[in-house]
Amino acid sequence: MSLQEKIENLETDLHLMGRLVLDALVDGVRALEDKDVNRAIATIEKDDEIDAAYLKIDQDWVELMATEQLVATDLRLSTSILQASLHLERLGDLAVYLGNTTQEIFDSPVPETVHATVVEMGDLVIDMASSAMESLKNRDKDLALATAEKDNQVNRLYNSMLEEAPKIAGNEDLFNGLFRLVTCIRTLERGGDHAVDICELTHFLVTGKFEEF
Amino acid sequence: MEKVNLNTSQENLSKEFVFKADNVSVSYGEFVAIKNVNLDIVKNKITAFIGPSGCGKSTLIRTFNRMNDLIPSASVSGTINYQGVDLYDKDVDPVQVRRRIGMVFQKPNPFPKTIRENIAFGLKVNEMTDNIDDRIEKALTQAALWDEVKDDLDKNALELSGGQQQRLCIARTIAVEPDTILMDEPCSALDPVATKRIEDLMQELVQNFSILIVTHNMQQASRASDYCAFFTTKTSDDGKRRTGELVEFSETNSMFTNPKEELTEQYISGRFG
Amino acid sequence: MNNAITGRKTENAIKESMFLFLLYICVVIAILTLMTLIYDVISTGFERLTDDYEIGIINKIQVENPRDFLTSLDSRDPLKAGIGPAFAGTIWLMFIVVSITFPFGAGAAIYLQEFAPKNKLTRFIELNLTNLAGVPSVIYGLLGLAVFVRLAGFGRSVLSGGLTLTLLILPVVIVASREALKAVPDTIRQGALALGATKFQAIFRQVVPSAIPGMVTGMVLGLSRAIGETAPLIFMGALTYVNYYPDNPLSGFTAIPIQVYNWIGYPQAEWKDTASAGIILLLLLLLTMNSLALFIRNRFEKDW
Repeated sequence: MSLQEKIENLETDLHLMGRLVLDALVDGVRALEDKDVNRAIATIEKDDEIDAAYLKIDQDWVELMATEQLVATDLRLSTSILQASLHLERLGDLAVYLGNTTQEIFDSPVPETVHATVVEMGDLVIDMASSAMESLKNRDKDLALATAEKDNQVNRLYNSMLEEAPKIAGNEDLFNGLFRLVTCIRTLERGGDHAVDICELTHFLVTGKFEEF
Repeated sequence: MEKVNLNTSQENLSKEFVFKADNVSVSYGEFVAIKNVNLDIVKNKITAFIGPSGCGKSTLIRTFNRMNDLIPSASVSGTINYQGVDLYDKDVDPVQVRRRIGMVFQKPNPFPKTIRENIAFGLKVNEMTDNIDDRIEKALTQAALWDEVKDDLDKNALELSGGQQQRLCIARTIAVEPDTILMDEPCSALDPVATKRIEDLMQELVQNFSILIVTHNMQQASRASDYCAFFTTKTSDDGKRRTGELVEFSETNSMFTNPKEELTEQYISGRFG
Repeated sequence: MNNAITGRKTENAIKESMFLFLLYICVVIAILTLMTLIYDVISTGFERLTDDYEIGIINKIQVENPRDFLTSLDSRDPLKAGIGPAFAGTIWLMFIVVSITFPFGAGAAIYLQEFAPKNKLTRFIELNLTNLAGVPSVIYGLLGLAVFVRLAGFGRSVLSGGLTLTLLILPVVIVASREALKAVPDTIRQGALALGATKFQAIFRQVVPSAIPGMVTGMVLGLSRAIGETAPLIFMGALTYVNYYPDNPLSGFTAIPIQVYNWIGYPQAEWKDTASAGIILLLLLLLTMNSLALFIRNRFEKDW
């Protein structure tokens, strides 16, 4: 197998993993929205596939480093792939977290506003993750920048949650639901960061410079 | 090709240059080996010349110490400015040039004499014979060879290993106190261990000398050099002659992580050449 | 077993053995011929050098004899004739030849190899050198007669003889020296020049010293040819009956080959033994010189 083929395979594997992660995120967010326990359990089980994909990328990357002397674009691409796979793996863990949260709240009353916020944030993170991976695939640094800017929306949602939460705080019935959803929001916020990190990788790949977005 | 500037920051202005090549071309009779080279070589740094075979890197490096003068059909156009002086000015003595700008060759070529005599020769022809034993010791020490040969200075140089012979050649070059050392693929005849020793030696030597190295080994260029010049060949219209050209010249780190020219990217990634 | 790799082994082996056998035969013939000649000479002349010269059977060993033969003068009596003056003449010739051939030969070779521009004149000279090496030695004798004996006025002296022989072997020495210089790799010259040596320094301090063993070998081999030459010396008029030792370059002389040639010409049977003794001496001299050349080559020549 030539160097070209090895790198192409590595990138293909990354996008396959990306596909798995996005599907898992969609399942997680929908499960949480519909309080669908079965879907949640299915999401959690699929995490094994994501981990396997991650391991494969990791191993192939090490092998590539050991056998080839990568420079320039090849170097930037392969290191970006490795870092992106790590971010994707974290996003996969986020999907699992969504599944767990669903299982915890499905039979409890939940504050509607916070619930809606979580779902909105979840959809936003799915959108960002999807665009980030697309920008990486197409070497589109403008898309990367635009996607990274959506993190502002994530922050706004987060802040709105902060304003809502105290209003509901006193209500004992809703406490469990509130608690779980708030922690879920914090986790989603980190998911947004991972998507932004992937956008930074796109920028690095295209320009050779590393910048924080 | 227009003159490549490294950058115009304040940092650049404080750099000293040992060579400034301005539109240099070298021909052998009618055959143009390399043309239109514009390069500024920074002092006390290691600059590597890389590129496929036949792109004129060896030819170019030999213009810097006027070794091309030995080939009757060779001619050089353009100017090479060495520390403020035009190297090819008619008043310049090539013999003095070669003392100030030393050269190490591809295949180690020690004289078939003792180790001591190998170094003494350069000192004698340049009338640097005062404290000759100290000078010999200093040169061998700087070339990281003293410890290995200090008890055997009267041994024949040809009995040394390839790597040792090459270090001896480096020692005799630096004994005459040049300010620049030109190296034409100095490690291609050596095994990897000997090669590594020479590369380590280069890092030490660069504190006192400017070093120009022609190398076929891309990893060596990326590991060992501070600046890198990439040359390629262009075939003439009738397909019969190939002339070398400078494609890109930049700091090694940036050339190997993010080269400016597509051709450079292809060559260093191993896609051609 | 696959015939492709085992098939022709025996056939090839037989062919090879036959060919080797033929070669051996050639070698044997050559050596046998040489051995026969040498044996003949030695058996004829050996007694003359060692024993008291009686018709062979009585064992009167006179130890003085060998030296006598070497130091005695020529004589009409084959039993008393010695090779002394001829030996001295040969030695004189050797000295003259070496002292003139080596500097001129080496110098010409160095010029042609290192300094001469690659133009038509140089090629012309090179072509002629090769031709001169093949000119019959007799011609050199005539040249010597005209130029040294008559024109320069040296007369029939050992100087003229030496100069004539010099001309004879000079082309060979120049060519051999050039080969020795060519054998020095160009990287040595370049290495010397790259250190700031001038062309002269590079050539005379590095290239020539490395080529010296080869040049000396060429000189010795040329010399051994020179001392065996008879025709040119005869033509330029070396004397045939000499009963004195040459004491200065301009005196008359004779040489071992000439002396032997003369002795063979006399009718008495005993001269044959005397002549053979002279040949043995010449062979010993040649053997010594060739061994010297071999020794120098093996000991000093560089293995580039």
